[in-house]
Amino acid sequence: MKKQIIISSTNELVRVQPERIVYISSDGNYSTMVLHDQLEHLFTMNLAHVQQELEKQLGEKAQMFIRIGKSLIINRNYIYKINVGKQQLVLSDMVLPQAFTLSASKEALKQLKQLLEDEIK
Amino acid sequence: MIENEIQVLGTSHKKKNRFRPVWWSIVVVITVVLIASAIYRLGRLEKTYVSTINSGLQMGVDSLLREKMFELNALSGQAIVMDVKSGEVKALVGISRRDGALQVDENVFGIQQESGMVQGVSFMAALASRNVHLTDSVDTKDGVLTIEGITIKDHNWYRGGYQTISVEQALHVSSNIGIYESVKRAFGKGQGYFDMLKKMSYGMPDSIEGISGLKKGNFLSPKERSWDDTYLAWSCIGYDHAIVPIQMLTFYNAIANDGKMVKPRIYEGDIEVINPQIADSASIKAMQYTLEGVVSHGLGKLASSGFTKAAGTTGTFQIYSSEDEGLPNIYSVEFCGYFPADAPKYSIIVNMIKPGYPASGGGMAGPVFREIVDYIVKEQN
Repeated sequence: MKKQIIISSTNELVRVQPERIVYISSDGNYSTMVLHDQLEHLFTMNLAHVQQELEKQLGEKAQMFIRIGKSLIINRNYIYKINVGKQQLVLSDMVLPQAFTLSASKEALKQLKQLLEDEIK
Repeated sequence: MIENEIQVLGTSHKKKNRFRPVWWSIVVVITVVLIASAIYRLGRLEKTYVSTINSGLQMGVDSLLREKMFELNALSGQAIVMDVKSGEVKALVGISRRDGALQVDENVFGIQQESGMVQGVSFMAALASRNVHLTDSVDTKDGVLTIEGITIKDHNWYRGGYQTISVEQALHVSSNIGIYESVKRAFGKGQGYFDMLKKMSYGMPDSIEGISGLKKGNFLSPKERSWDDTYLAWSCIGYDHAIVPIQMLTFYNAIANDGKMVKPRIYEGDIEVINPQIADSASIKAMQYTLEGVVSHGLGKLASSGFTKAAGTTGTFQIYSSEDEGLPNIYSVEFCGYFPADAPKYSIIVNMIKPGYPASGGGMAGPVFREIVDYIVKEQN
């Protein structure tokens, strides 16, 4: 079975394959994890804490996630489209028909775009 | 670079790119500092290397030395003129015989040898001990002294020796036995004599900018090998010392300079003091008086100039014994002194290495000294 990560709080424990996570967004003290089949889960912890857990449990594999700004962590494997001008980031499965459209700052999207372009050089 | 908006999880927050400008600016700063210090040092170099040598005197001394060396069939020779107070070298002549001809040779300045001038050094040491006075008597007997089976002879032993003389006379006539007795009276039998040589900075300097191959003058002492009475006797008359003429000149120059030893320099610059006072001033004055006596009454008579009063002492030493091989022994003949005796301005050493007898520092190097003194006096008037 593929490795699962565990995100645990006082009351609750969630166990999930990291490949299924499309993104995690947050507004302050809560974080919403969105899976590729549109399943969502709300954690009572801030994004930094989630980031810590991901890094701790995944080690090198954590590099599949990219933090954007202060309130978004995305799974880079789901990046479909980046439009800097419209400040749009579209994440998609390629398998399931739905796509997730998120917004982020122009600077963040510019850097993300640069990152991907640098990698293929 | 702007603070990063994105971060790949699991990586450090600082990306590699951000280091590069900091790295480069450090490299640039270091390079600038290195270039600046190199320019500064070059700038100082420009000023430093101006020679103190007086070219007219250099030529004059060269020709006087060469003439005598030719007459004696000498193997090598040196003549050095130094300004007493500043240490500036005014002439530095070195000549050796190669391929049958006398040629300029700068390598001679660094060749260490035993020297008869050590007698004067030992005399100075004995005076500096405050245990010996010029008017004390020493018994040189018939010019032959035997210590534990070893024999020390004065140069006139075959004529009956000097018998009882004053300490002062012992240096006037270069009596080995007289010098040994004075040193023994001054220091007993042990380390004291060698400690005094060190205290007087004898053998310094160990390097001079522009003269290559120089090493500190040295001598075997009780600390270095099993001690035996005879070693003191041999050492105080010059055996087992290794020194070069410019170091010997430095020592006698200190006496001319009332006890202040300055370093000889061939480039212009500041006076460098090796030892501010090699011995107390009363002992220095007694030594100066004795050195005047060597020239006026002693074996240094041929060094005395008609134009000015000079002081100094002679040195004659067999540096190599080759009679067993059917070859003549090799001798070093030297004279080292200064003038004018009452207010010394220049000090001079003349050293020649010659084969076979006769060999006399006073008789052979002394006249060259006198001619150099006369040359300088005439040039200045």
